[in-house]
Amino acid sequence: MKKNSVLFSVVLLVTGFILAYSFQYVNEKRDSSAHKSDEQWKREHQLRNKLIHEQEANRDLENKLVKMRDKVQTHEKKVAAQKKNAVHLVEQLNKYRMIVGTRKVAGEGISVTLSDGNYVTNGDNPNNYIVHQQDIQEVIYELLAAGAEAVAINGKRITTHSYIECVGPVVKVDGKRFTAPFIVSAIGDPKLLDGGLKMNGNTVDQLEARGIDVMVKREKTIVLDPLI
Amino acid sequence: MWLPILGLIIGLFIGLFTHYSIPEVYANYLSIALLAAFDTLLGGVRAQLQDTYDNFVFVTGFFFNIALAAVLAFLGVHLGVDLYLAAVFAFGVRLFNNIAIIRRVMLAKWKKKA
Repeated sequence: MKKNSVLFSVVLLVTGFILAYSFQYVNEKRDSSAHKSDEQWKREHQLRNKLIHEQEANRDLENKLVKMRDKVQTHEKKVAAQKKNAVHLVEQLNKYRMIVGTRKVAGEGISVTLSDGNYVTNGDNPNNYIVHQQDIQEVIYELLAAGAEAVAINGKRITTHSYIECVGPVVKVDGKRFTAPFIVSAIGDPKLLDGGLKMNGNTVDQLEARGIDVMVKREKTIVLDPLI
Repeated sequence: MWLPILGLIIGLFIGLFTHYSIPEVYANYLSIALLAAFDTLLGGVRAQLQDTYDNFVFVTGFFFNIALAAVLAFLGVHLGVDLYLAAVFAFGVRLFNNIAIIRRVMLAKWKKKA
């Protein structure tokens, strides 16, 4: 009988331990999880509000900037009208502004659409069928070489110090993200630009050989917004 | 008689004051072990009432069931199959069966007395 009660006490000790421990564990877990999610939610809410606030401020400032630039231009036009000998200078200034990208430009041009290839041969690396940052660069270089006056990617103006980088599945142009299809629009003589791109063995041929869909279209009017 | 109750109380206290937290994945093992312990205890009570109680069977059953349940849960976690559910089911069914038998035997005894 003595031996029995010792055995029982060991068994009951183990049972009691497991029972109390799981009770304790579940309680603790519930506490911590509820606490954490509440905290996280609050923090997320705060950050989101902040972000929205910043975005609104940014938009306001951008609008202001555009208005200011318009104002400056109207003033310049006035000045140009007043001083005939200054006309030449202002024209030059406008030309340089166009190149630098701080002026709205409109005119004839072409648009080049680069899309990821649809058909991937079985077992082939799909990486070969995706538009890469260097493909876009290639097109831009070719357009500039063919005499493009202003170039933009998906409406984002390209300047002399623009940078295009590859960030996984998207492409970053001056910090802004874009996904395929990429539309490169350029203002200039459409004949020259088109011809430059479609020269035998040139950019379009190379890209198409790699399996990328390239569509070149001549446009009557392209309007490129100034750089913010 | 008092020794087993003392054991139970000591076990409860140790459990309550253990603040060591185990990973989420192993929480299943705990519930299984608990079920196995309950099942074996109730099985022991039933056997006692039916006069088929054997000390050796009871104690080995207690630890063996807990170990087996833990192994099943471990396998389940590593195979991606919720095998611990099988243990929960088996022990749950047995738990109810045992309780039902205990109740009947008690009722029969009480009727006899009355």
